[in-house]
Amino acid sequence: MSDLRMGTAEARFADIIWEKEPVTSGQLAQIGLAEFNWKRTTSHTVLNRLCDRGLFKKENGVVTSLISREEYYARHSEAYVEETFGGSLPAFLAAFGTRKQLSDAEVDELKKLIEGMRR
Amino acid sequence: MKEIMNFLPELLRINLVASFVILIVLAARLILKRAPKVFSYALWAIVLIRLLIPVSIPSPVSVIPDTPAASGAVINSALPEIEFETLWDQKQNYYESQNTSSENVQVYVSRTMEPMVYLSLAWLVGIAGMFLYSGISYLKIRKKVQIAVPLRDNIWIADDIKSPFVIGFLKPKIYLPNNLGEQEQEYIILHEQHHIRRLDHVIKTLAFLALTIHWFNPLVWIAFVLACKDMEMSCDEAVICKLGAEVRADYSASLLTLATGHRIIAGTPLAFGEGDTKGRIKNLAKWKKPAIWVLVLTIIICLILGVCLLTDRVSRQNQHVGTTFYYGNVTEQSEDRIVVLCNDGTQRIFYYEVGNEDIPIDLTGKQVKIRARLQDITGNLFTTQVSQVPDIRFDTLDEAIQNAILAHHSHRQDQEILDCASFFTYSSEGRSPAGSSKVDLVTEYGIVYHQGYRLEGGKLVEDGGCNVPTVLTFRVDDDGQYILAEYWEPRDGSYYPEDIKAKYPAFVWPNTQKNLFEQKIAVFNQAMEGFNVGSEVIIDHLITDICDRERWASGFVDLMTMCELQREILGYYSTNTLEYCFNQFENGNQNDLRGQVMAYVCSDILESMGQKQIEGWSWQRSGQDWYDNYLEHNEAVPDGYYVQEMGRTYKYKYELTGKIPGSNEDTTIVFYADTTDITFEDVVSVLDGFDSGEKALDIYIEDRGAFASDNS
Repeated sequence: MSDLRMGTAEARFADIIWEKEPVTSGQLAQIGLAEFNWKRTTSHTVLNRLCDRGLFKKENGVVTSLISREEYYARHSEAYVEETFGGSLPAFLAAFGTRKQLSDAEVDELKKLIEGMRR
Repeated sequence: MKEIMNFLPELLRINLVASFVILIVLAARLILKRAPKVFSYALWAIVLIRLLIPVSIPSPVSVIPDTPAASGAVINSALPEIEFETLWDQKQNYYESQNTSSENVQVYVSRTMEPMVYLSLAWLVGIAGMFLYSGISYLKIRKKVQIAVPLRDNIWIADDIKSPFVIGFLKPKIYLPNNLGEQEQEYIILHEQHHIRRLDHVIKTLAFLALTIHWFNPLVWIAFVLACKDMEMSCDEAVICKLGAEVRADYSASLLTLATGHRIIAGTPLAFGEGDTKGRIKNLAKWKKPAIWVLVLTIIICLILGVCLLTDRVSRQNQHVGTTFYYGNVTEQSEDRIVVLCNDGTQRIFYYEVGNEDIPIDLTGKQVKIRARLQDITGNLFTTQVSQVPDIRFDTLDEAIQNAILAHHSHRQDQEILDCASFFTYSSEGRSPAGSSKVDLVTEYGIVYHQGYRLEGGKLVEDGGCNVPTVLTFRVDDDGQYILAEYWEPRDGSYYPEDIKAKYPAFVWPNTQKNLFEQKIAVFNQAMEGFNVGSEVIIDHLITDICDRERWASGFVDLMTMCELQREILGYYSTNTLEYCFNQFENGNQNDLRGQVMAYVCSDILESMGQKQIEGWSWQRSGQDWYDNYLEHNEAVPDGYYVQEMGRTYKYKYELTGKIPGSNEDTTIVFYADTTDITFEDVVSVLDGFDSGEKALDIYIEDRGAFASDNS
């Protein structure tokens, strides 16, 4: 069930589905537009992601939940998103900057530095 | 493409100046290490302006060195003002109008343009690459922030991003990743809002534009990276300043939270140089509220640097030194300006100044001479003086120079006056088009001596002249003929040394006196030829001139010293002078000053010819006295002309003493020959031949009367 994690936007969208279900995907797109200024495709993308994770299912254009909101939050007390380094930039550009993932030692060093500032 | 090729030299100039500014800013950053980072950030603005804005503001305090392009050392085959399209066409027309075959035009164009084409292409490819990269990055980011929900105002939370950033130009939005705690979120929002308030998103876009244009210079990349760093750090400091030093730890902690990702801000999706979490946290750890004196000092440093680095030196680039006349073909003429394809291949636009009433209006297509009055800071040329000139080419450089000077200096209507000129060259410069060894522009640095003459009572009288350093530039066309392109003179008075310094090569300083004598003689000879005056007239004139100056001299020897120049010219006419004077003496009774002068001059000349002069001769005695004495001591009258002629024709002088057949007395024979292998008998046999009426070698015996010559 590791795939159940949701981002903030996904969670807000999921809340709407739980509230309105059963609901058609067309209606959801309209709500997405009204609430978040989302394009149709964006709403569909998010919906598909949620369905893929097994939270909802879409049948004949009607969306219903597979897991209830209460059950979901019982499992994931916090919508924690693990940070990963995207690495979307070409390597040659990365070499220019100081951007690189901090090593554990560096993180420790910085933590000490921050503690120093608190004093 | 042509416009781009045309822009390249200017781009390189901008790049060079900016590189210099970057180096200075890098140094200043070291000094300002402890000062608030906002000052370092401000200094980068100078670099940005330098990279993007080519307009230069002149100031005396500028520290910007003269770039090669600015000082004219770089071949100015293309300049920013040129409208290349027109130039290209004009060049073709220009050559076609000169009846040059189209094949030659092709050769000319291709050899000049080829390297420029490749450079332009390379530059364009780089720019395209940069745009492509940023475009793709931007689209990626746009896609990522689609799935976002509003937090408040212009702040959104997006699911798919790892670091906060600002996107949009006029209505920028802040996008935050969804992994931030509430407190952290507030810090980051403050940070991003400060970016927006400071218009960092606009500045960073401009900076990226500058980087795109100047992608080929590593210094610009370094500048970009460091500027982004300074931008972030100054923003951090601004937030801390607002919230107080206490929040530094929490703020740093927020940065650390984001640290595993990378932060992207300000619209341009370039993350490098950014997200330097370690550097930023360390910077915050060191942060102290800056003391007033530090602020004041830093502000002063930044202001000084700003003024010194943003302005250009009042240099030859901006200042039109001297007086320049350009020669060329008018391609376009309108009410306020005239466009001339100058003979040096550069198209120049001249704006009319007030007082342009005298400029003819129908000059298009004609060859003109145009006076460049001045150049303002934008590099515009102005003129009040345009006149049509004949389009003449010359086979030799000397002819071309002579003609250029005379055309320049003789505008007198007086038909009686003959203008003569001489040019002494100090240094010559040839310019070849890129990729060719053939010289197409020649520049002569020298001195003009110009003198007008009139004929008055059979004598030459000087009538106005000048002696002025002059720089002449000629185009050498494909037929090897020379055509004047530029005529330059320094301005008078206090401008003079300044102009010379700016125009002449560093190793040359024209000295108007140094070669004056040679130039005077050359000019004098021209006048003689021009008026068809015999040397007698000149010599007479010179001797009269010396005598006329007696009243300024304290004595005869002083007069001779004073009239050194006249004596030197008389010396130049050596044989003619001797002939003239001896004729006068033969007439007898030369007992006045004139006689004395002639005697002195003759004595000089004879001595220079190797004849020993009477020792102890007193110049108090008359000239006639000297002549009679000379005859007595030398036993022979050297026909001056004759002696000299022999000396010129034959290398060796012989004096042989012996008895000639049919004579009992020893006779000394002096003769000239072109060989050393001669005996007395040879001479005698020649004399024998002469006796029989046959003309052999020109020989004379040093005995007045016994004189052998073809003109005796």
